[in-house]
Amino acid sequence: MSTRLAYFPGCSQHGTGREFDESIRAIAGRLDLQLDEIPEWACCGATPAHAIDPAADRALGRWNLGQAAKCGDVPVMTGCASCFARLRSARAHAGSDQRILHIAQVLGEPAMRERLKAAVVRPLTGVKVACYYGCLLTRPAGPDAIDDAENPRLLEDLAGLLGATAIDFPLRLDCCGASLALARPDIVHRRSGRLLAMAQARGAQALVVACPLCHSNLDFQQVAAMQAVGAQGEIPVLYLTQLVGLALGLEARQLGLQRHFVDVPALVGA
Amino acid sequence: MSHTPPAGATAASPLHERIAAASGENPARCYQCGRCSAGCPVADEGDCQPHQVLRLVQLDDEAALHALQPWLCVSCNTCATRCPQQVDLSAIMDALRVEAIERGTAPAAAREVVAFNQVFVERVAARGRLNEGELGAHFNLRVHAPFKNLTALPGMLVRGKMRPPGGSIAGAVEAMRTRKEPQQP
Ligand code: SF4
Ligand code: SF4
Repeated sequence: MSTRLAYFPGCSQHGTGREFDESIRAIAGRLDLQLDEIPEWACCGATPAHAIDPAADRALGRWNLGQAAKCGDVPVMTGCASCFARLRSARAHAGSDQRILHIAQVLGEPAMRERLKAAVVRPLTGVKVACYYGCLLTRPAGPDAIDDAENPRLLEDLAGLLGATAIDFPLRLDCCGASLALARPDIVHRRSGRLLAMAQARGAQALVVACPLCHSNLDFQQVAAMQAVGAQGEIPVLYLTQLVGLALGLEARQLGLQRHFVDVPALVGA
Repeated sequence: MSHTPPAGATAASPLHERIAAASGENPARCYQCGRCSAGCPVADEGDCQPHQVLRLVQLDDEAALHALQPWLCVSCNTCATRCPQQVDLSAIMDALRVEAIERGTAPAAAREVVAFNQVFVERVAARGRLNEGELGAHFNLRVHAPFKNLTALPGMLVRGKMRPPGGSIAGAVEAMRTRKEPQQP
């Protein structure tokens, strides 16, 4: 039976994170997920709204929850970690019982794990990945976060389900520099460079992320980030949904892999 | 940590009361263990450590409103997750930024971060959604650096990651226009 979700793409998914949206839609087709895009969704306000203008944060949150309700009594699902955090906050402020889910949680639900396992046609056997959570997937802590705030396993479990091996990655919960990308790229490069260099040094063939801002800081900014920490080489950065898509036998173009700045080699079976 | 903020903090109230009222947090709970700073990804990038910002608030030292550190805070929430006293320092950082803007005390070193935040909110208020290209262009104009980050543009265009803004979301623009401005402390 198909699972219906009210889909909140978020602004990045129309721009720099376009392939996240593409890969979410592509795997949804294979996993019998019906995505109803929320009509006239607005920007979640991201970090800047709550940072300097709480009224803007609240206004956008109320608007988005109202629009989501138009999809009926189904959970809201988003791929963006920041949208996820803002929607959770809006729900808490509204005292609403609307379920807000991140795509990783949807994939991690017991029934979906079974569906996923059954749909794998190209297991990623032998592929070593570093799973990166960053800040807002597991924080703020709470039963509605995707997993435990300090010791999450969800991304590693999902990678394992696809046949891949998740390496130990102590920086997996450390922020990439997030929204400082435009104003203080130097800080973002130092933060992201450290992550990339560690993943690489520990033998990961790819970094797996579930946030468009993480992806931009780690993929688009990778050359500068590596330079900032004196590291060399490159490491591809995949969205969780692209990793899933590869295991499901989808083609690189269907998953938007050609949009990356760091090439994704065929090592992951594409 | 939910608690009842001191009711009726005014512009003349001591700093800790104003921040408590705006953030819903109680700065007095902090016993300066430094756990927040230990996990903070930007603790070593600014002019003081996050727990020191909180100490300034406890001391009613208005220097907290002039500090760079709150502007480097990326709201990653690590501090709040780990605080043994359940103080949400990220919410206190929000309150400090809001008041620093209201009082015009944000330091010169934070100019670009302030501009980014303001331009972001303005763009969302204008369209209801954010177009990253527009954000970049307006940010550059605001900080008088028209060519900043411009070398990134061709790569973005080739990959289809930079597209012209679509229309506006009228309802969201209206919701933003009629939003209640943050209450003056
Ligand atoms: S972790 Fe909590 S108690 Fe410790 S210094 Fe930070 S805010 Fe204070
Ligand atoms: S929320 Fe801000 S102060 Fe707290 S750990 Fe993250 S960057 Fe540091």
